[in-house]
Amino acid sequence: MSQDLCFKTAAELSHLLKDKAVSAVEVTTAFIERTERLDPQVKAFLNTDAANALAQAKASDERRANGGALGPLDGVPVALKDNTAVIGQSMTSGSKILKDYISPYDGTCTQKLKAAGMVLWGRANLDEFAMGSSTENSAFFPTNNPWDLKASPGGSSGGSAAAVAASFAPLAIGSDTGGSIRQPASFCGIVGVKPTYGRVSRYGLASLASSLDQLGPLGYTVEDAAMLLQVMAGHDERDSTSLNVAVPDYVGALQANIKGKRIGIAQDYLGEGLADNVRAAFEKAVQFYKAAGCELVDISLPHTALAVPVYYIILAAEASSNLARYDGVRYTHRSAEVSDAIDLFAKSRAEGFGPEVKRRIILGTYVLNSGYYDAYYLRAQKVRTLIRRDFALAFKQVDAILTPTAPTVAFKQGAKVNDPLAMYLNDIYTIPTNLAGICGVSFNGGFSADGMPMGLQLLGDVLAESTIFNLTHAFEKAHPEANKRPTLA
Amino acid sequence: MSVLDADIIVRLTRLACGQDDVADLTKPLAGIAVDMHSKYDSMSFLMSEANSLKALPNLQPLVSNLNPMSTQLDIDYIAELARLALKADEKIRLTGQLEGILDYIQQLQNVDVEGVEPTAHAFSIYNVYRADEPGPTFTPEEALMNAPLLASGKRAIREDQLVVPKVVE
Repeated sequence: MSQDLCFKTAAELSHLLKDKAVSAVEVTTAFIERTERLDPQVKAFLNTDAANALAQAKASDERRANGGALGPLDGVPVALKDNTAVIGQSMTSGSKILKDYISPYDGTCTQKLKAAGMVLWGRANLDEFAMGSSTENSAFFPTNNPWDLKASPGGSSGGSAAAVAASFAPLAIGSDTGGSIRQPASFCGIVGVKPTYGRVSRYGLASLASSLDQLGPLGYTVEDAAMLLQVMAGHDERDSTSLNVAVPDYVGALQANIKGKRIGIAQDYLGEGLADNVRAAFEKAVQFYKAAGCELVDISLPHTALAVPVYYIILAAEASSNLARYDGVRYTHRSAEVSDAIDLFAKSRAEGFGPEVKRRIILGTYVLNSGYYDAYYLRAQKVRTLIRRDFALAFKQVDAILTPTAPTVAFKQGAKVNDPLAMYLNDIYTIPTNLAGICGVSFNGGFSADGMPMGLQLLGDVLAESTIFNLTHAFEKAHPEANKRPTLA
Repeated sequence: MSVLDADIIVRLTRLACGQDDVADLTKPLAGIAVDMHSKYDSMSFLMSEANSLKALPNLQPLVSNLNPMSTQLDIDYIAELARLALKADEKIRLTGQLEGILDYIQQLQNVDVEGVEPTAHAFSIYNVYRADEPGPTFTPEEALMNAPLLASGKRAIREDQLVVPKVVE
């Protein structure tokens, strides 16, 4: 029974809890036991607190017994990437510099999860400060892909994706700056959503690149991800970039008929570097949508190839200034032997940050350096405008755009970690979304010959989450094998 | 030999003689680097021992130019701006990797951006003001609970304030 509970979707658990067929304590206990037994292989979590999770579950059961359930996800566990603030918990952001940090406050997303009665279970591993595409940049340990323990789960939300794929939690929160939710969802065979910029408050998220960062849900099904986004989304006065727009009923929109929807296909996303098996999965999805009565439209996104260089300039620039706060003065690691204040900053940072973080801080400092600002940063911001315009034009013709999520299935650990540029190019299909501020979902498009999941991506216009949920939910219903789970023993 | 060593070797070789003959020079250097690595675990040693390496065939042009700071990217200056105390081998490695990345992002110089407005955020953003009224805030204890730990094991706090090295004389 308890193992079976781990393989339920969040929607199924919601029904079981509502019908009082199971208690939140039973559900939470099942996930705790499975995690304790199998996470030593997967290493999805940096920190867990079983007693705390059980106390939350007990409180949920008491609410429900008194007729006061807080919503459909009351009592359902959710894992959080370890760069989000939960009062009294770690928030290492995958970095040694925050190794001993305990959050004194709840972020807005955390508050919303708690207000919905969800059981916060497990702090998921990530690339240091969410910089990376493999979770190998975690200062603590790499996470393994539940489908192949020698493969990377992707990144930077690799711990969140692996936790859901391994059935350690039915849902997880990740953050996506250039694909950090969608690419790991793709590599782990689950659903991951990058909401429209400003849809979810960033208050309580450790900032990487503030103009690109967005929190989002991961789950086994589109419905689960939609249920979780329903809880997370909404305006927040503590995030000045938060959109003051009402949140629609995402779950209610899932069942709409997709006939007549226009889906864009851009050759700019299907060029050199795309693996044959992923291309075949993509073609299969195109055929599905055609057969379902959607109109497939050829569109052009001509500035796509420029997204990676633009992204690495903007990201490095914003990250280098955001990470200035980790200076050894107020919190974070402080170097033991320092001669003066400047020495304290420089040594504490050098000791606390890992190689990828240093690389991006140096790159960001370089491109913002006076004399180079116009040539790099300002120019990148202008090309960013061209990329945004590509999408604005495309969404006049189509309701959504179908692409692969990543050029290949999950790569083996160690395959790219010493070649930063190769690692950066892996994100070519996901980066433009963040530059344009639009939304996207990665869903499982099937499995390769050797059993690895192949994610596909559906992009939607600003605040068009309901549209992409509706379209991907239809694909998922017709392809139940896409929701298969890996075998761990 | 680890990939890291190969990176450093190619980098050093390029510094000395540009892109040409990298393979020729890398071969004898590789053997040395492996040896050095196993003994001393640091490329800074290789640099400090530059003179004794001059005796080796093929390496004179390399060793005479063994200076990671002799490139366009002034890593010392950037590291100082970034307040990062980088080690000598980190500087060599970062310079090589960043030059590769900068080469790659040069392609933006060919894009016509005449008359194009820069995008700082995907959507226009405005200042948001709240009413000027007191609200809940951290207590001094909460604000200081993550103060840095000192070698003594105590936190860098005195009288509800953070302790830092002397800033003014």
